[in-house]
Amino acid sequence: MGLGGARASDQRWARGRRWTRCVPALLLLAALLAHGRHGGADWAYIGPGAGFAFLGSFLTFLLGLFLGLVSLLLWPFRLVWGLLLGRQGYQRAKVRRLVFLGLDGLDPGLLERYMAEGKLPNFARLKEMGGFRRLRTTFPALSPVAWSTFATGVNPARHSMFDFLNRNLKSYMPELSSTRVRNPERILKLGKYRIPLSRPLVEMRRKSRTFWSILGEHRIGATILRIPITFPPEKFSGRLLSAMCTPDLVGSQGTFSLFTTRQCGESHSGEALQSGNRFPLARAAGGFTGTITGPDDYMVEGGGAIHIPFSLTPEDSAGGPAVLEIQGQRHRLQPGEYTPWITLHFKSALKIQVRGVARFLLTDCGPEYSLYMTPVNIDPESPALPISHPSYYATYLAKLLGVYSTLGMAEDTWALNERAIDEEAFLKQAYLTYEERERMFFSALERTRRGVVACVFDTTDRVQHMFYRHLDGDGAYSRIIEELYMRVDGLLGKTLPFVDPGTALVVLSDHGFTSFERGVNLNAWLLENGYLARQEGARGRYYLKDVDWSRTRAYTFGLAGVYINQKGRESKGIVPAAEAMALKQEIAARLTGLRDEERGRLGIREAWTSNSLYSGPYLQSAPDVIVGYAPGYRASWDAAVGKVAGHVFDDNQKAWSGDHCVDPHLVPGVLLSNLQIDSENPGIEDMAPTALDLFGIAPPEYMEGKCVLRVA
Amino acid sequence: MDTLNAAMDFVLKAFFGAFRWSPGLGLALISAAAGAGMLWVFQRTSDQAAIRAVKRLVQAHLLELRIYRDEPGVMWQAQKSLVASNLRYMGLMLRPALIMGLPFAILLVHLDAFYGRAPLRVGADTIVTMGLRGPAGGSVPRLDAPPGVAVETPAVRVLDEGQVSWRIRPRTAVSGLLRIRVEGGAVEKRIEAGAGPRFVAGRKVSSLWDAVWHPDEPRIAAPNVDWVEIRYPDARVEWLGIRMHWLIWFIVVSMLAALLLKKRFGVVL
Repeated sequence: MGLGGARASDQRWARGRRWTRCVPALLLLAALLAHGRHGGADWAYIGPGAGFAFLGSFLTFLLGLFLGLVSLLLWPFRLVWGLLLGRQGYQRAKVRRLVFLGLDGLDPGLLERYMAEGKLPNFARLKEMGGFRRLRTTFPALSPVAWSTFATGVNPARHSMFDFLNRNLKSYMPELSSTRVRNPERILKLGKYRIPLSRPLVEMRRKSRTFWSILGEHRIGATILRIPITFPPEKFSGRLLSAMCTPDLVGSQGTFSLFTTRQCGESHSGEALQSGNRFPLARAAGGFTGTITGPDDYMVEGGGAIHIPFSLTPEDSAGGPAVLEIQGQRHRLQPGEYTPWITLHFKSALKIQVRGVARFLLTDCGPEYSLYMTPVNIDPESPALPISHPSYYATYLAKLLGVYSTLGMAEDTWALNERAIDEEAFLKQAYLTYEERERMFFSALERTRRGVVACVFDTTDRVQHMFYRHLDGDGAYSRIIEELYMRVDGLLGKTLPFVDPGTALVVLSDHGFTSFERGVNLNAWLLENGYLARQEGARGRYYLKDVDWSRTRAYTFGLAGVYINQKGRESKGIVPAAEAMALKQEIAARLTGLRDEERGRLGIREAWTSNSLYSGPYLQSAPDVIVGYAPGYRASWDAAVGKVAGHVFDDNQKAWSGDHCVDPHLVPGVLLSNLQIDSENPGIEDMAPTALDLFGIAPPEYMEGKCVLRVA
Repeated sequence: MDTLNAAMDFVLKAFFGAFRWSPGLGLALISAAAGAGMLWVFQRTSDQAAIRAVKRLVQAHLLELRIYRDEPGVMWQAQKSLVASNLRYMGLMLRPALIMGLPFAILLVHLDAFYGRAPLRVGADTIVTMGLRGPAGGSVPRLDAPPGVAVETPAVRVLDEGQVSWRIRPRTAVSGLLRIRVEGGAVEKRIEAGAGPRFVAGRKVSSLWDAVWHPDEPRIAAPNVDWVEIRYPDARVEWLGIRMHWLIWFIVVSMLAALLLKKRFGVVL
């Protein structure tokens, strides 16, 4: 090598070195790809953090670009494919966007009252823009039934939802009527370990087709947020987040935990808990320890529940904050303030992990200590069960807006019923859930220029259930319901700016509300009147356990009505099918006008046979007699869980003091829209056909409702 | 600086000596320790809550691209948000990266002498260059090589750049000193030739600032000389049957260590 050449090479080398120093990113890539010169790469890499940042960002950018390009390239093909399949899209649509704002349980009477008082300016404005009607609800007036009719446009005998619970015809045990979750069918047993070879079976038991599924077939997208009875989520051309009947992580419909130093049987009010779980808070050095009970470890034969230990350390002697330490994380608990959602990792024997989320609340902070934990919700970021469609939609919402409650009935009404939390804590929890829902709703609205956005807010229902007894009173909570209505008026106010000339806004509720003062135990009535028999010497325990089926002609559980113990249908049925109709009519006639003599009031306004109310293929699943309670009355708590004991009429002493499971004529819902309402007596079954009609799609013949909105 | 350089060299030479039987393993251990150290610094200097939040946003926008694939408007917005979130993410990394930058760079330049340069091959020529503070006029500098190294050319001066170069060729394995006599004194520079990994000093410099980035030998005392450099071939480190540049090993192992340990440190990267 000559000196001149060496010098030139030397200078190039030096220039290269400067260049690589100036562009560390390029060097890092070059080093990773093991190409090119490496001299001076030591300047490029300043630690794993920066390495990850650069590499992660670069890959993210590439992935984003790739996804965007793929979507853009495929879009014309999808369009042509849709046209070839005869999907009409928005060609005949009368509106570009349809927004359903569902306010569960919003009562037309209270709405009119507060509107008249000038407290709901946005509702008044919407009424002026289009119209306001009372909305006929279903028989019975229950959310799972009514929202199923909303979604499908058919009566309950066509969608098979009659109550929260249905009975097992073999065992008479109550089952969730909307969903069935079963363990995996194929399991490999290796010693004590059980390896599932298939997924758990999650079955949707609501029948018929939803309007969003039909819209999807026609290339009209929909975002369906928290409409009841959408668990498990159906597959369709749109996005859906499941709601009512989505279980918690232990498989129940919501089991709270109370960890306390108080003695068993002694809660705040001095009563034993009937619902939820109560666990001891053991005293330890400087604080307390406890154990969270999670789902069963299915990976081990007879594995039992998975537990997570935690410690609670008060910061000072009494009344002050405490530190909750759980799975290596420390959280400072302020008395009366909920923690954010805390992720709980339940690890099975084979190190398989199930994630749940829960909020904690310090309810006693000296001298006794109590810690309330919400039911452990399925973690939306890593769902153990399918809770959305597409499956990653739940994750997307959690990443975008923060972790949220996924439990079907997120507001813990039982915790207030059992005084595990007080009214203030319940309200805080309910409004935390409300805010989560609000963020989801507006996020969907911002992203939907065309198609359907439907979202149901449950807070209106739950707060009225728990605070109805305070309505029109003069206590501390007398204005809670009024404030609730004003708050949803604010929600409507924030929604109205999204309503342009191409948008139809429909605000609706599934039913109204009335008070629940006295419970009616129809099992006690059936027992007194010779329709039901108990086993000799039995006490009449829950879930119809003490019923003598060989002598029982009718029984009840749930909230809707009475079942005939029919031969050939129920496993121990004794009433021949030929006599069943007569028996139904007899019971319906005797229940109609049933009086509460103790109070001198009407307990039941009317009862109907199922045949007189419904028509459809699932009529046999319906309660044989539907009971329309009078205002102030409802199926008692004991009757709802199949207890055969006590008096026919009893006081309702729980905080749950408002209800709607009465004669459906008494509790219609509301219907407001910016479009003209064409019908004087619209029903909730009209909503699905209306949605289809607004997008120019003829409703299927089996749908029973009709379009009730007119586009000017 | 000289003391720090000497101390670091002392420690690293001891470590290198202990792992002479497997330099790759030694490098892997240093890399893993550096990864853990970086996590420790990161934990204390970065805004973990903000990083966690922005990473979630990045993931959300990626999912958004799939969820709203039929809505070009939403996809465009998602792309924009993705870029904005990425920039914010990199911005959040800037502070800890800057804090880590200096100590890390010092460590890396020290390691380069152990793993980055191979000794001269016996029989192969190379260039020795000396940079002067002023023009390269005046008396001609003279290069004396240790036994086993031939100086093949006289000093070649580049007057404009103030540099003087020689071509040398090691005839045998050598570990010694080159001596360059200049006006007002002499400069000594270590030279390594032969086979096997060893400490190979890079450029020898005179200024304190340059000594930060070229720490392998004591600074030049002669008043007119700025630096002296021997161009060595690049080294490759062999470990687990794979030969790669040491920095690639370092990046891979330190990032892997950080990835494995980040949960233990409670750090989001």
